[in-house]
Amino acid sequence: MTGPASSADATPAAGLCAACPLLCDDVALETLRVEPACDHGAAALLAASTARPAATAWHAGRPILDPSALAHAADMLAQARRPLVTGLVGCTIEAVVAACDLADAAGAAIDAGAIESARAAGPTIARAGEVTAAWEELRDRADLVLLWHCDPSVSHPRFGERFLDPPLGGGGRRATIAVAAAPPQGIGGAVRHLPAPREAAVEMARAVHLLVTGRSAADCLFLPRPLADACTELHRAIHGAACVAIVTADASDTVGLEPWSIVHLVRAIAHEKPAFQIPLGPGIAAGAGSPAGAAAVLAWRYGAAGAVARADRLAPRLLPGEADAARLIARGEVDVVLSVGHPAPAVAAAIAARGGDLGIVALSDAFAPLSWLGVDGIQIRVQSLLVETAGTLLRGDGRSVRLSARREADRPATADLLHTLCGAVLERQLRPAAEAAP
Amino acid sequence: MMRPADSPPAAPSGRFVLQGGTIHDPAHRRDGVVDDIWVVDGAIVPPPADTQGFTRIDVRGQVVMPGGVDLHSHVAGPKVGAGRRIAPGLLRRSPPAVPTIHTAGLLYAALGYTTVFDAAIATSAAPIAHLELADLPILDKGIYLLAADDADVLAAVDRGDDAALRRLLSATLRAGGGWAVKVANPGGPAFWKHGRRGDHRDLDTPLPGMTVTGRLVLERLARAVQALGLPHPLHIHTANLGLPGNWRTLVETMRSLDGIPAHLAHVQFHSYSGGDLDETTFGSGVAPAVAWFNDHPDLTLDVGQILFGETVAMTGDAAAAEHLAHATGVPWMAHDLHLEGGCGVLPIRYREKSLVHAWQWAIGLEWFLTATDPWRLVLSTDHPNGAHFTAYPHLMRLLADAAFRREAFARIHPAVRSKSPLAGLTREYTLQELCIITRAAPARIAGLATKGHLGAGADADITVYRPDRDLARMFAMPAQVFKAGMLVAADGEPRNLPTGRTLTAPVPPA
Repeated sequence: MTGPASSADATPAAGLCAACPLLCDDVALETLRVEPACDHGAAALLAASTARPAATAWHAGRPILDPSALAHAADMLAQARRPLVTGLVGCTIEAVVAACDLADAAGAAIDAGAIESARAAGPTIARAGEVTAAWEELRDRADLVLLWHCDPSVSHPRFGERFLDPPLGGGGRRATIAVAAAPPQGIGGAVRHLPAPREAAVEMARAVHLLVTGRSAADCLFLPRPLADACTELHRAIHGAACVAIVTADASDTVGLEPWSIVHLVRAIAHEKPAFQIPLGPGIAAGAGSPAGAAAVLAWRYGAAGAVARADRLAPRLLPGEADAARLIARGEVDVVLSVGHPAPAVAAAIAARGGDLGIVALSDAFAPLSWLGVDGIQIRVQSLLVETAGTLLRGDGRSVRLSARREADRPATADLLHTLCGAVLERQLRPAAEAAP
Repeated sequence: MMRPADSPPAAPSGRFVLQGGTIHDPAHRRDGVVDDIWVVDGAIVPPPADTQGFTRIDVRGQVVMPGGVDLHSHVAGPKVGAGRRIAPGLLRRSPPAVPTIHTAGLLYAALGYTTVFDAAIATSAAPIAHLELADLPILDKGIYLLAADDADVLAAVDRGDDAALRRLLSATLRAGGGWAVKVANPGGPAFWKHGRRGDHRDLDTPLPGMTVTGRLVLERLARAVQALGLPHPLHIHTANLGLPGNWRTLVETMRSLDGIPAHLAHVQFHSYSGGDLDETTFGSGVAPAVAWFNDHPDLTLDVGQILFGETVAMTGDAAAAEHLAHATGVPWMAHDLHLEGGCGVLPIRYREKSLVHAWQWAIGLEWFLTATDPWRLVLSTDHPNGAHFTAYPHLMRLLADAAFRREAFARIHPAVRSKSPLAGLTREYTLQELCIITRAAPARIAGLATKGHLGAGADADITVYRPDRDLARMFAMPAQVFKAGMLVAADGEPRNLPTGRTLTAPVPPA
C-alpha cells in the first residue's frame, strides 16, 4: 500500500509526537535529540524522556502516597453532589472510554472543554454541517489554500512543513492566501496576505459566498472598499482553482456565527468543485494529545461531542452552550471536578477562579503540582502520554494513530487508574448506609 | 418499553430447553411445527438422551425463531458519530434517530435481533469503529470495509493485476478486522475528488487519470472477493444512488457481474425511472430490475425500505449526500479521506405527501412483493437512511397484511397511487417468509454458518414471540430473546448485557 493511511491505519508509529493534536508521526526520538520535531514538540518529548520526578501523588501541593491519594479521590467523587469529568484531551481513546465509565458510575457531567460545545447557538455541525478532509488531502490536492484568520505556524508548528510546503500531487503549484490582520509567521513559500480584521470575518465570508453563487461585486459593497476588493480577489482565486482548502482556527465568537459563515462558504464552493474546510482547532493551546478522540468517544457514548449534563449511556442529557465545563464550574453547579489529562485553558481558568470551594482530582502526567489545582486538590501522576503510554489517538482530522510506549513506565496508564478509581467509587456507593454511618 | 407483570424469570445460561414452541426454522424446513429447542453452553444441541439438569422453559403457544440478523445497517464509526451530532433534536426522540452505541445494542436485542453488520467502514476508520463496537452490548457484530476505494486497490484494478488485487484486499481485511468488502458508488470517489461534479452518470466513464471504469471495478472486485473465498460476496452500493432513471445503472450493475456472486445493497434507492433530475418524471423502475434479479440466482439483495418520518442519511457515497444536501439545504457533513473515499451525512424527513418520498416507499415494497425468492432478499431499511431499525415490525406488517398496506397506500401522494404497480400487488408474506428475510436469508447470505437457524450446532440466538394478529405488535416486543443461550431481553426490557463477539472474516494469507 502507498502511504500510511491506505490500510487500517493504527499501525504502531514509533516516532509519534503527541505534544499537540497534529500528532506528527515522522519524529525520531533519540536520547537527547529530537528530529525533526518543532521546538514545542522537542521540548515536550525531551522533558518527558529525561525527567525523573520523585513524587507520584500530591494532596494540597504536598507529596502523598498513592493508596492514600486514590482513597481520597474516590471519597471525593463518591460523595460529590454533582461531579464533572473534564480534560480528556491529553490521553488515549482507551482512557476517555474509562473516564466515561467513571462518569456513568458517578452520575457526572462530562465535557472536554471544546469551544464548539460552549457555543450559545449550538454546535456548528447541527446548524450548517461541516465539509472537511484529511490533512493529506489538502497536501496532495488543494491548489488553493486560504488561511482564514489562522496561523498554523503558531498553533500547529509543523503543519506548514508537513502539509502546505510539499508539492501538489501531480506536480502542480499551490497558491496560499492568508486572510488575517497580520501575515502568518513561518509558513514557507509565497503567501499572499490580504489584510482583514477578524471582526470582518463573517461579512467577508458572506461576500465571497455571494460572489461564488453568481452575484456581482456590486452586491458586496456592504464592506469597506479594501475588504470588498479582497473578496473579489479571493473569488477570482477560487474560480481559477481546481481544489480549494480553507484552513480555520477556533473562533472565539461564542455565538458561532463565524464558523457558520465558513461552512456555508465551503458548501457553496463544494457544489461546483472539490472544496473542504480544514478546522485546525486550538492546537498547542489545547495541550498534548487528541481532542478529536474525546469528541469521538463522547459522541458514541452520549450522542454529542461535549456538554453532556449527565453521563448516562441510556439517557444522556445534552445541553450545548449550557452544560459545558467552564460554565458548570463558573456557575457553581459542580462541586468536584475530575480532570483527566489536562483541562482546556478556559476550564483551568474557571477552576482557578472558583478558588477553594471546588474539589479537584487530577490524573496527569505532569511531574509537579499543577498550578490550577486549588488548595485541597488531589493529583495523581500517570504514565507520560508522550513516552510511556500505548493506545489509540485521533489526529485533529480524525485519523486513527496508534501510540506505542517508548520506555517502560513506573506509573499506571490513565485508563487503568480510571478503572481502579471507578471500582473504588462504585464500592463506596454500594457500601451499606449503616456501615458508612459514624 | 413496558414490562408486563408475568415476565419470565431470567433463564440459566448453561442447559435449558424451550418446550413446546411453534418453531419457524426455514433452513431445516420447519414451518410452524411444535417442537423443543435444547441448549447447552450457548449452542443448540440435538435432543439429549439424558435430559436431567436442563431447566425447562415453557413456550407453548409461542412462536420461536432464530435471532434476527441485520445484514446492512449503520451503527458505528465516524459517520455514525457525525449522524448523532448533526441532528441533536432527533437524538432526544424515542427512539433516537441515531442511537448511542449502547442504546443501539439494547434496542436491537429488545427487537429480537442478535447480530448486526455495519455496512460501510472506511479502512482508515476501522480501528476507531472497532473500539466503538466494543461498547455495543449483547449483539455479535462485524464491519464491511470500504476497501474498494483504496488508491492502491484502484491502481491494481486499473492494471488488471488480479493477484495484487487479491493480496491488497486480503491485507486490508486482516488489518481492519472486516467481515466483507464493500464498494460504495464504484469509482465515484475518484470523480468526487477530481472536480467533475454531477457528470458521473454511467458505469462506463473512465475514472479521472485512469483507464478503468466503474463497471470494471465491480467485475474485478467481485471476482477477487470470490477467489478469496470470503464468507460474504462483494457488497455493492452501485452508482447513481437516488437519481431519477438510475434503474438502468442497477440493471447494468447486475448485467456486468454475469454469474459472479454479489450482494446488491439498498436496491430501493437504485430503482427509479424518470428523466435527468426531473422530479415530475420520477417513478418506479423496479419491473426490469426485479426481472433480471429473479433470473440470476447468484445475486442477493437488501431492499433499504424507506418509512415515513425523520431520520439521518449517512453514506460512503459523498456525491449522493452532496446532491441531496444541496437540493434540501439541510446541514450537511462530508469528510474526504486520504487515499480512499469519504462520507456524507445529513438529516432527512420522508413525507407521505411528497411525490418522491411516496415513490420511494412504494418502490421498496414493490421489490419485496415481486422478488420471487425470499432466500435471496433481506429486509432492511439501511438504518438509519431509510428508517430506524425499530420500524422493522411495521415493515413486516406491511408485507404480511395486505389490508394494512392498502390503508397506508391510500394516504400517500395521489400521483403515486395512480401509477404505482403496488396498487395491484396482493401478495402477503407468511410468517415463514418473514423469518427467512429477517434471519435465515441474511445469515446465509452473510456466510454465518451458525446463525439464522435452530439446528444442532447453531448459536443459541433465539427469539420467542407471543402470537398476535397485529404482526407489528408481535414483532416489536418479543417475549424472550436469547443470545448465545443467555436471556438478554424480555418484553422489551434488557435482562443481561453480554459483550457479544466481533466477527472477522477468515482471510487466506496474502
